[in-house]
Amino acid sequence: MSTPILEVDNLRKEFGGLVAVNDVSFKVHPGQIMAIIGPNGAGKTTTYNLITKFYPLTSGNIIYKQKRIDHLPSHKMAGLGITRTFQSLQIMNNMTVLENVMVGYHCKSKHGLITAALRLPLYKKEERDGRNKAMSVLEFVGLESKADWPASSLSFGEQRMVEFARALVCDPDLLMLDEPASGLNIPEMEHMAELIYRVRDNGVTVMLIEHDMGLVMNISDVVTVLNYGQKIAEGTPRDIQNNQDVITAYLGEELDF
Amino acid sequence: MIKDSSYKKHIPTVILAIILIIYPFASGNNYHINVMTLVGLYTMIVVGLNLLMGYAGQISLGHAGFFGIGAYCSGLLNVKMGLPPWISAIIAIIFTAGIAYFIGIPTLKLKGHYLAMATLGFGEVVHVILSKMDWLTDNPDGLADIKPFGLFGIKFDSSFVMGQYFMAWIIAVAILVISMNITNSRVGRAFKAIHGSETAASSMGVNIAKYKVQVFVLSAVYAAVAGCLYAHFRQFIAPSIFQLHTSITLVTMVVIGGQGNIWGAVLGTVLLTWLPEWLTVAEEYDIMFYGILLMVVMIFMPDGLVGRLTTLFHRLWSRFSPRTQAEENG
Repeated sequence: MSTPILEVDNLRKEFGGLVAVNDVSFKVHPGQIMAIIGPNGAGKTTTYNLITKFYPLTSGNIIYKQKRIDHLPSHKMAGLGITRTFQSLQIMNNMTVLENVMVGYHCKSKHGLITAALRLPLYKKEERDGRNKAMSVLEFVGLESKADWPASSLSFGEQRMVEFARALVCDPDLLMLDEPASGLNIPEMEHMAELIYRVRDNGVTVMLIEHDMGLVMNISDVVTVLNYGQKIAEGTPRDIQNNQDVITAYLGEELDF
Repeated sequence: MIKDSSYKKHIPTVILAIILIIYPFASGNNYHINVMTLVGLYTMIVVGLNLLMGYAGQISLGHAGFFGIGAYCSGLLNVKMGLPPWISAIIAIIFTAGIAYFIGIPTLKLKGHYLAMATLGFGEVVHVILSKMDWLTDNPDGLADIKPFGLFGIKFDSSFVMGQYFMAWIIAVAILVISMNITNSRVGRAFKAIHGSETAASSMGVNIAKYKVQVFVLSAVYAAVAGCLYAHFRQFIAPSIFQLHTSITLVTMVVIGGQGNIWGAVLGTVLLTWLPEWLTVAEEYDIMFYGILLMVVMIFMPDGLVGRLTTLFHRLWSRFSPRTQAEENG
């Protein structure tokens, strides 16, 4: 099998006495859609926050493209090609849709305060490139007609799309989606699933936290199951559906595979 | 694809420039022109404070401190060391930027009320230091005998009202244009993104600490520029202007004009400088008046005057423009 793009090795996070993520290891292979599922409080989003450095690790290694990245700050991730979306939407309400997406182009551009203040050639070139790139991504998600709208005026589902677009604009290698379908209606969810497929087909590796089992089982190549901070299963969607531990973990919840 | 509306965005700048050129000749009143010169200086500070507050979402209640450091540093270098005003001003601006940098790194880690308190404390420290400086200024009231700027043998002293007016406003408009360029750039978007969501900004590669310090230093530099001009225009500076009262007035100007809108800074400054003149409110009551005004604006138009006017304009426009109506109907 190919070398993994992301390798998480004995990842551990303790909040005081609580072990939120308990020595979790997994590998993500290039070109895959890898889903992380688990009951509420299983440590899925915490795992994301550890990989993207929003929390410091208690212990463990994170290896991305065969380099350790666990010592890097969160703002270095986008530049390395790791972008993410958020379960609780993180839309900049003080900006337009286009501006929101153009923030995603930050790590692809370099111009600083003085270059911008004097409108030097580099500024003009990067602004033009960023704008074009952002518009093409907005077109991809179907929001190009609302580019100049204030982001706050969009519906919830559209705001999810803005976040998705913002995470795509810098051509990531690893896209980490945190419940991209939550709060979406059925057509929106189908649209989202199709977009995730298309992104994967463009060579982007996708990680996915999702509660909607229909979506997870449909689109994932590999599923990792967390429960109480521990990995309890890993495998293809079919394996997971028949795994006794997983069924026990979800006991009481209706499993709608 | 989308072209950034090339000429349209220059219209407000051109209108402002025309008004500014006509004003002194139309007014002909030296006192009024001097007030407008002061408006020009305050505009510089308020534009910077607007970048800090309105765009990046960080507050400062100590910007009169940077205004004061700029003024005193340039004044002292000129009076005590005999440096020409231009040189002392440049050194003063760099010095103020350095102070802002070292103050900014620890304080900008604070948020909300804590940041407000820390910057307020900084402003008061500067005021106290300036007040106890009579050992250096040889004058208990302040620093006197500051030399005016000179250009091609022309002295920009207080008798050259027009000269001071145009010098102040040319620099103020330059700062306005520069700031607008910044807000429409990667850097400006990073500022706004920090305001909108630090989490998202960071995940998109924005180095939050770096940009917070950058906008803080930039706003301090604008305040220092205003301070240097103030010192060499008035040729006498006293600590009383560089204190909390002024810091609060500056913040009020930002809020009333409209946070997150560069033009709001201009409108807020003009309005709050002239209102006391028109209303002839007794000196001690003006801060109370500002307080009430601030409350009213925060409650009824949180986007400030420019924000409110833009919304009104758009509403009127969509009502009277048949094309837009047709678009709205389908």
